[in-house]
Amino acid sequence: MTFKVSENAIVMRIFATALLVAVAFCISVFLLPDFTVVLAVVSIVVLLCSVIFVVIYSKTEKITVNKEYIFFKKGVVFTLEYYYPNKILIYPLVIKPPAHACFGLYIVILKGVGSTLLLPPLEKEAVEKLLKSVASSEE
Amino acid sequence: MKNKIKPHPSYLLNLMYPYLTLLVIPVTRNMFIRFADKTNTNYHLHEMVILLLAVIVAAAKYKKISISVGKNITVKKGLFCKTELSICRNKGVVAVIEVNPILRVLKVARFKVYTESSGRKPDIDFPVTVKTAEKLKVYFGGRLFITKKRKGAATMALCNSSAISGILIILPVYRVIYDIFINKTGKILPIFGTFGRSVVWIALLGYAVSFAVLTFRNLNFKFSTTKEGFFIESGIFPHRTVFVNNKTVTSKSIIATPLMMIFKRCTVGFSACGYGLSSGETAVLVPAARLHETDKYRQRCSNTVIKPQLRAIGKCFLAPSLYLALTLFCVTVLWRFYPFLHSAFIIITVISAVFTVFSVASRIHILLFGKITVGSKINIKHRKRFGTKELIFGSGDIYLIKIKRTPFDRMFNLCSVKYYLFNKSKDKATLNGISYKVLKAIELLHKYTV
Repeated sequence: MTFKVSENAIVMRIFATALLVAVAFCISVFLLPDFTVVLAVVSIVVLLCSVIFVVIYSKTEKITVNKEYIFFKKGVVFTLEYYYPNKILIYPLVIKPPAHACFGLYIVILKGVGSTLLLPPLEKEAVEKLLKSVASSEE
Repeated sequence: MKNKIKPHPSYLLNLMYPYLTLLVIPVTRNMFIRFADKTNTNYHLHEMVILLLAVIVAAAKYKKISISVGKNITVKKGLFCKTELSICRNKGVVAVIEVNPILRVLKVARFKVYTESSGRKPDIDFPVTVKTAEKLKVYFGGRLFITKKRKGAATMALCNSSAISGILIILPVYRVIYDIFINKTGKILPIFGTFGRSVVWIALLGYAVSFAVLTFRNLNFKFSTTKEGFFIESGIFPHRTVFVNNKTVTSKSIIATPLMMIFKRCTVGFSACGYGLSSGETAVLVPAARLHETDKYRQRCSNTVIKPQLRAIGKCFLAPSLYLALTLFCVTVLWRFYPFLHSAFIIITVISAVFTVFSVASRIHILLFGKITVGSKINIKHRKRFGTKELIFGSGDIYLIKIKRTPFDRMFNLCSVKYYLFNKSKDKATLNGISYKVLKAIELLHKYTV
């Protein structure tokens, strides 16, 4: 079974990026008021590049659950692949922070023997399916 | 069957605590205001508002907490940041119910659950009523089969308290300071005599406190077996009931310090979910067992026994001799430049010599009596500081075997082998002076090629 990052998560990440860029813009304008126009142009360029990066990065994130292990892949230029054996999984921890709650998202952390795997934000249905498939693969 | 339990209302204080730290800012500010204008009496309002907010938020958080025990232990908590965790009981947990004298008056017990994934802190940690704690004992353990009282808490405490090492370090340091001061001032101030005596008294007091704490922690030791695991009840301040699922026990250990060897006793411990790593916890099955009582923890049929070779005796003297030679060299060089520190140097030399003798003796002891027994379980009797430790584990719990050969080892066809276990306690066992050919011939190693 394969899970991908939902559109809500991508929207949340774009929103967070925009907020960060806006805060950085305000601080830089406060420090350098004479360069407002330049800072505005730079901020827009940074925002556009960040949004493109966030979208591409989110699309690369993929979670696969099978009988023996959980496979999690992510990354654009530098890719990371995690193979997480089911036998070392102890329990999943589901967290709903306020920021994620606004977009209907949950964070799942897989706690295992001497290890922890942080998964990307998922919607409620995906979380339930993931937990069921993990539980069935353990059996 | 699902049972819902609620933490004790005293948990509200835990929930309020992070917000109470915010009061530090207004209290400090108000102290300045009060100092500047003694007629101003309005400053308490801010503190009241923060306190009220803290109480409301804590109460709301407390209402949101839900703990249910059944096939899984499920905890749901959080007001702004909601968290849910579900630990399967069959996965193996260590559950601890702790009652200290203060909590006993309030009829409160502390309920903790450890798993293999938790760090030094438990995965679940809540105060519950004593009645709930009794129900939880039944939930985890079920019917108790056999209960045995085990004595030896005081013996274990006497032999394991580490204040002696503290005294050995404080003594040379105190002497160095004392000698430097005499050299600089040319006279002995009474304060140094008092200081020296105080240091010795503090060290002795430290040993006494360490001894008392360890004794009280393991007094009234009871061991009970159940269908799924075993219960250990021990201690007065605090009284601790620990349930350990058999599945979680990755290894058992039989530890004998030099002092315990004099009394012909040893401590039998276990590793399960990292219980025992935090301060105040001792993962002990038997505090002070007689040597013949430990046979049941070792495997009955031993297929292959590997012992260190006597030709490795040279290695027993190598490291301690180098250490002693280095110490003597440093002391000799420093004596030339600082002759007024002669008494401190003498103390350091004597302590180093005693340390060397003990080190050589313990290495020779392991050379003669150490072994690796490979069968259904693996036993390794190896050196731990100046005593011995026997680690007993299954072959499935190994995650790495490291074989090391120095030039000395190659000359005599020897090696040292180190086993790393796959558990949170990160148990490891090293045995030196093993014949390299014999070790390689073991079938077990073929499954774990490094």
